Amino acid sequence: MKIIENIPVEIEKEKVLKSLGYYRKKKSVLSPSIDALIEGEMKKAKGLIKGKGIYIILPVESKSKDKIILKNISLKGKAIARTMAKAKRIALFVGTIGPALEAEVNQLYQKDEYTKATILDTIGSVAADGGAEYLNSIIIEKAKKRSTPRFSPGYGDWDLSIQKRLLEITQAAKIGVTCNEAFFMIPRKSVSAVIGLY
Amino acid sequence: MKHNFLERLKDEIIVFDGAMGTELPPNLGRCPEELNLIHPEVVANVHSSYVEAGADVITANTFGGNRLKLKENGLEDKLEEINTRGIEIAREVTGGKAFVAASVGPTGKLLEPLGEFTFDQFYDVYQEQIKVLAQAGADIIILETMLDIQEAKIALLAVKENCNLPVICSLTFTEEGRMVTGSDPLIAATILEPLKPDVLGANCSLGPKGLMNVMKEFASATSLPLIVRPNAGLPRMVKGKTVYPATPDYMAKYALKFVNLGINIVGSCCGSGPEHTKAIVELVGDREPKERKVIPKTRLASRTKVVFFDKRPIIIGERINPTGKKALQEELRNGRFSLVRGEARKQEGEGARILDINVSGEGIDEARTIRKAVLVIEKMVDLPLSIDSPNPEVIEKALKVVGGKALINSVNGKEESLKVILPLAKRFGAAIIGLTLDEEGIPKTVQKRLRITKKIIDRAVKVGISKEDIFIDTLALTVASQQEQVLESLKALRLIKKELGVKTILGISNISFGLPNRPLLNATFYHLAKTYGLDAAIINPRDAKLKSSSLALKVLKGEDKGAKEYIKAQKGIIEEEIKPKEEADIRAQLSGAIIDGNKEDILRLAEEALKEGLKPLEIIDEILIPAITLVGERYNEGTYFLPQLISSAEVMKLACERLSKEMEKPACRPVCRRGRRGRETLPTQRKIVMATVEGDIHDIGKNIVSLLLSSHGFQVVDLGKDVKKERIIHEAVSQKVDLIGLSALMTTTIGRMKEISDELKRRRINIPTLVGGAVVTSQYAKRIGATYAKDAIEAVKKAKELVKKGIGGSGGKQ
Repeated sequence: MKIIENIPVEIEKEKVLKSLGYYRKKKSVLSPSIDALIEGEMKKAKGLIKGKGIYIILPVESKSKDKIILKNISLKGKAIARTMAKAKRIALFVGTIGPALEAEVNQLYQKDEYTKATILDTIGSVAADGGAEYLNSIIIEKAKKRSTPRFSPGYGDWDLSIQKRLLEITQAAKIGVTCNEAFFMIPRKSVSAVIGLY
Repeated sequence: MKHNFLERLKDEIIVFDGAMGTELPPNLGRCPEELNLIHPEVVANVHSSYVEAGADVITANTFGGNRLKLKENGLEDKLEEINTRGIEIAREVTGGKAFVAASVGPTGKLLEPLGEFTFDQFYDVYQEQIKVLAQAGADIIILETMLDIQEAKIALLAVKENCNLPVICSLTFTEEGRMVTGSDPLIAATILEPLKPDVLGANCSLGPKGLMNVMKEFASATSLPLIVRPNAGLPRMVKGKTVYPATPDYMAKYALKFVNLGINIVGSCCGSGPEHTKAIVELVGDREPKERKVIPKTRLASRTKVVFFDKRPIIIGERINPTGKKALQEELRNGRFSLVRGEARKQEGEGARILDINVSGEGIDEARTIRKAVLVIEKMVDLPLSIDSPNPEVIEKALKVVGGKALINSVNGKEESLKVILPLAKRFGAAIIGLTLDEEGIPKTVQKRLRITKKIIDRAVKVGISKEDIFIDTLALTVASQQEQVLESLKALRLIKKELGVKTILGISNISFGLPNRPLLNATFYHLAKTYGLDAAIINPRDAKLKSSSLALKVLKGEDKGAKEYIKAQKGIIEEEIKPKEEADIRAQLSGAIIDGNKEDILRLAEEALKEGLKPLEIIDEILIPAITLVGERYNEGTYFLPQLISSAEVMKLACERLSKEMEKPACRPVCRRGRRGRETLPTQRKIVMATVEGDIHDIGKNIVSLLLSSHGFQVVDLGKDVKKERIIHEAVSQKVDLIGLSALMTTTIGRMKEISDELKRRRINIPTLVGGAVVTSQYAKRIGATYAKDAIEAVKKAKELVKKGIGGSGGKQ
């Protein structure tokens, strides 16, 4: 198990715009006032994001068409079994940008600042995904192996209920990530996933 | 090798080198430019590999060498050294075998209104770096990866005014084919061409395939030589590293396509290396540039829109002008701009293609005010602007913030005017209106007007303004006092256009001064001037829509001497003319505030509307709802995206909250009751309880739906997220709601919706349920007896339908 502190989180404006539907029909116009709001929230977000990650790499003990068995945890589902088919070891990881940004989003909603809140929330999602991407690449770099695509609970037929176990095994609580009974991660702007190494 | 870059450009394809940044080993130095000082050998190696590959031009390692960028790495004290060494290293490696281009990248900061930096601050930053680069002996300056047109403009000015080197201006575009701040290649060419860069084009961003369209647009938009330097395809993350997919062959193949399109300089950008350059040199290095024929055209632009003057006269809205408008004067004196905003939007709606801005008046600080007015208007509409002032200081202040290519209104034949206004126009790349008057006043004859015009054109061309950028105004004089001059001015207009080939323009409204029913005379004069070949009219756009009248025509042609007949016929209309509803079109202002998401003014406007005696329900029903509906339509068709939809709804919600307070007052009740009975089903009194179901803690979608519903007049009881079934049902019943709205995002929580619906059935509570969220489908909704909405707009539509049904049908509540 390894903790990565201070994940550098770069927020790509293009991705923020995309998530906000800017490219949806290819004719959106970015008005200067909205652009200024987005820029402002991106600036604010930088101070609110604290990227952290944690991961553990486990050897694959056995695998079948619809199951990958690791020590203490089995990954069940055809989609994940297919994606991880080549994997000799599997890295389980959790990344988060911390709770500050969503607290601010909630504050903004309280103050009826819906536009800012929505933009900041979107920035949070983009940042969390960027953080996961970074973690992903760090793991591969350190393992010096090739890897399968990233796969998260809830993708395809991989049941979301694995979330709890995944957080336990990675000891995600050490970076402040837990989940509720519906398997939503808390803080919300967190990503859990596995990649296969071969 | 010929030593003059510009000479070679005429008859050779020039090949630029490839990337520097992505060729350098990572984590060496605080930024690539620092390597010029601490590892010059590494930089030299990259250069020399490109020279060996056959590049004609080597780009020095000075891209981020401006003060603002260097400061990020604590290197601002080394600015001179870094830039000078950058040029020297390249120079030593090329040994005369290739040109050395000094690279100048963007500051990484934003100009106002988007950011905090001003024109002058940016200019200083560029000037500082460029002086050093020129001093160090660069052959060419290349401005690259420019993201914002205004910043590109400033950088270009700084080059032109601080050295004599050839300058290339290379911009970056998004996958939409626009710069980050919205300009497409045609707009960019329109704005930058008057500043006379030697080469224009694009680099980085899209990869060769993606840049093809951008370059096609450039090729048809400008006759300037063009440059293209694409990325080696779009980067992907592979094994934690950024990887660019394009092979050397692929890049070379595209280089050939670009050359066939008429591009003069090809190279490559991020992710490419010497092998790419070599392949490009081999395939296109010996070719000659293909000739492109682009007919120069008169055009103006905002950051995001271009206006041509090819066909019917272009309407330039005249109404942002405090002359004779007390309220506007007062507002400008107090530094407020809500009427300016209102006029901008209104004129745009009425067909203005350009807006004239005049803020002169007693007690108004014109220079300061025009600067703000431009910023405010550019936020509001995307039309090009005409800066209306004779004062060079005012014009300069305005042009420093204009994001596009503006029109200066105006210069005239007087020496004092020509001397100061023309250089300003040239400097900022603006077009000009030349008035045919000089030291002797307004000439009475056509020939004299022609002579003054020649003088203006001659002088303008001498300072470097293109003929296409000159409009001539032959001056419409007041028909009431100088009736015979009307046709003279039109004849002069026709002659000038024919003989001198410049565009013509008239300030229309002056014609009718002192006479009744001015709009009719203005309209008639406008239509008459069209037949003389008018290209642009400064006019109230509303007048331009009126038909001409034979009675008014007689006045203009001098057939109705002293306008006696006309005045007689207009009696009765005069009264109305005396107190025109100049400013106070509160309806348009309210509607504009919703459409623009203008939070600042909405409450004040709502108060004003109430004060004017409009009923709250009338305001909501006739003004606000149609406005928010329009916003919804724009969202559906894609011109608005999510933040715009939300900000309009936010403003709407504020207005509705204020107005519903008014409706609770006794005077208003009967109206509401009638609504209750359902003849006119305004949702004003309709209540909906909204919740994200138990376990589900993601509530963005639900919040947006809540906001949209309340902005359409629903009373929303928002229970928040992670809400238990019992609480939802309890609130629904006790608050007597008309509708229940539920959101669920995950497969683990969607089941809660069915539980709620089952419980409602069990307890025979007949309240319709509206459901939505990432995992919810219309089939699922149907199965549990609910109604599905795919997004917030649809949720409003469905909610309205459900409420209607509830009234007509059996929908009694338990």
